[in-house]
Amino acid sequence: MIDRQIALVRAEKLSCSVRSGFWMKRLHLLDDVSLQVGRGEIVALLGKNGAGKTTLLQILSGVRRPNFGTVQLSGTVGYLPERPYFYEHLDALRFLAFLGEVSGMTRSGAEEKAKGLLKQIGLESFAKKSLRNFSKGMLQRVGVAQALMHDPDLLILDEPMSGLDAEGRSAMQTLLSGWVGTRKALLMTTHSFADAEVLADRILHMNQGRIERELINSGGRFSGTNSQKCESLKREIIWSHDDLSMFSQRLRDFIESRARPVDLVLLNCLERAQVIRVTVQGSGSMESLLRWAQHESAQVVGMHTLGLATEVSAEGNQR
Amino acid sequence: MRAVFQIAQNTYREWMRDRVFWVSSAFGGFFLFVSILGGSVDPFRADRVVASWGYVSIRICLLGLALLLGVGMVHREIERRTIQLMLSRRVSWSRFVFSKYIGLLALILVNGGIMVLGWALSQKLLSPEGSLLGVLQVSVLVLAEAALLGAVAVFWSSISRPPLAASLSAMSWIFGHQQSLLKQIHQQLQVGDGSVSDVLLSLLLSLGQVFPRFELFVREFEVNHFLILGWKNWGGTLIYGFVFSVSLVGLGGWMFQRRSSLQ
Repeated sequence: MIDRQIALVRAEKLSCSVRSGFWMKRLHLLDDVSLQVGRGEIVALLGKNGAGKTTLLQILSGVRRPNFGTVQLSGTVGYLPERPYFYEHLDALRFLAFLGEVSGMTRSGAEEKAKGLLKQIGLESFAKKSLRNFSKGMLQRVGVAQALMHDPDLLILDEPMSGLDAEGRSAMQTLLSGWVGTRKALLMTTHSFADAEVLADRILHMNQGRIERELINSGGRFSGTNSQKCESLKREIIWSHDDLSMFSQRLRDFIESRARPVDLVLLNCLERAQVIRVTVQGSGSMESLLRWAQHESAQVVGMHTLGLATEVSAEGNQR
Repeated sequence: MRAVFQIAQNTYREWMRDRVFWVSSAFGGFFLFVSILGGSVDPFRADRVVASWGYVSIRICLLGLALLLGVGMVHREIERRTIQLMLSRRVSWSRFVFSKYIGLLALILVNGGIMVLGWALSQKLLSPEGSLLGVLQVSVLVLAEAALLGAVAVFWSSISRPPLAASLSAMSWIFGHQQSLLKQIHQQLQVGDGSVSDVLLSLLLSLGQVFPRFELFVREFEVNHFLILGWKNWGGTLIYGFVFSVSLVGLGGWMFQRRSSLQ
């Protein structure tokens, strides 16, 4: 249950800039950004490199100060920096316990909590191993665990899925969504729309230091807020079928029938190695398409979201 | 307070892991060994040679340690972004810098303690009737000088990169040893005519009021002649070092915070 009335973090009109280069030219990182994260909410920040996602998270977590604007936090924050580096001379258990103690926990309490978290992230057997021997994915999981050490109210994660394999991503998604529950909140950045789609209640799309679009998850469908039009998603679905050419033709016909009013547009259809790889774009859910394909005895081999696409007009042209 | 202790302990552990302790101990041990060897050349003056060489070797080792580790310890945390884990836990910059400095002090204390022990033992072996009180008094001053140089290094590192901070700290140290000399020159020249040399000397003397006076900690004469320092003088120097060190570390923490907010 999301309670947006109880904001765990409220940022108003944040602006941040740095001076760089020989002439100390001012470079704007954030420009008049306001956001609010409510209890029980998972918010994902999406955007290109340099869009201002990391700067925003750094300001919200207290690592960086904005030039203008205010941040109001009600509760504690757990933060995972981008490309984190940890004290390599410590083992995983000692590292987590150390950060727990820095957060004000007792030694025994911190060690107990650290053991529990290592178990949750599947690194129980590596508790006494030095962090210098950990792989990138393992370090990423330790990073998320350190952010959870002091049981924060708001978790701020900068690309938590970075370096994780498919299994690791799935486990991380389960861990994070389970952790948030109804009392906590999560704000994360990601480059993968698929991760955001699975986890987030709200997706904020950033560009050039501003929040450009806001999408709200309502029952698996993301729609824009206020005056924003529905955003279309670009997805790739891979099917296998006994008669690929027949299925391909029927699929084209089906999608054609769904093109007006705007729902689905076929972008690409490629038959190769016993599978058909289809890229579709549309504001509608995939449910009807998937149901239809299942009815046609096609097996879904894979499906993932490629990202937010440009708005699709009624004629099916991209603007 | 728990956070301060934990960060200081972690800093110390990390240096231990990096073998800083062993390398500096071996370096100091080597100097002491050489001083004993040197003393054996002149058996009538062996105790003086050991006293003088031991004193110099401990100073070089501890001051080098304070300077090199002091300028880089906070920057290291910034570069590898471990500082972010602390700041997000509401550990302020000042607290963090102070904790790191406590870690540095612990390393200086342990390293210095072991070296002083070796020095005192060799002194006792060579002149059993001699008092070790003077050795201990001077040793504490050496530790205080290293602590002050560490604080100077932290301060300079808060406004510059480590290589420049190391140079500035070394210059501050040299300058801090020449203030009496400058005063003497100023008095001997008896200028006051507003000439370039007069203005320059006056300027340097004024700067001397801002920079720490490292020369107060140097007691070579007392070491060579096995003298015991007056408690008032000794205590006053320690208090001076303490106040200056705390002020510089505090200022360094504040500067780091200012810089991070201006980034």
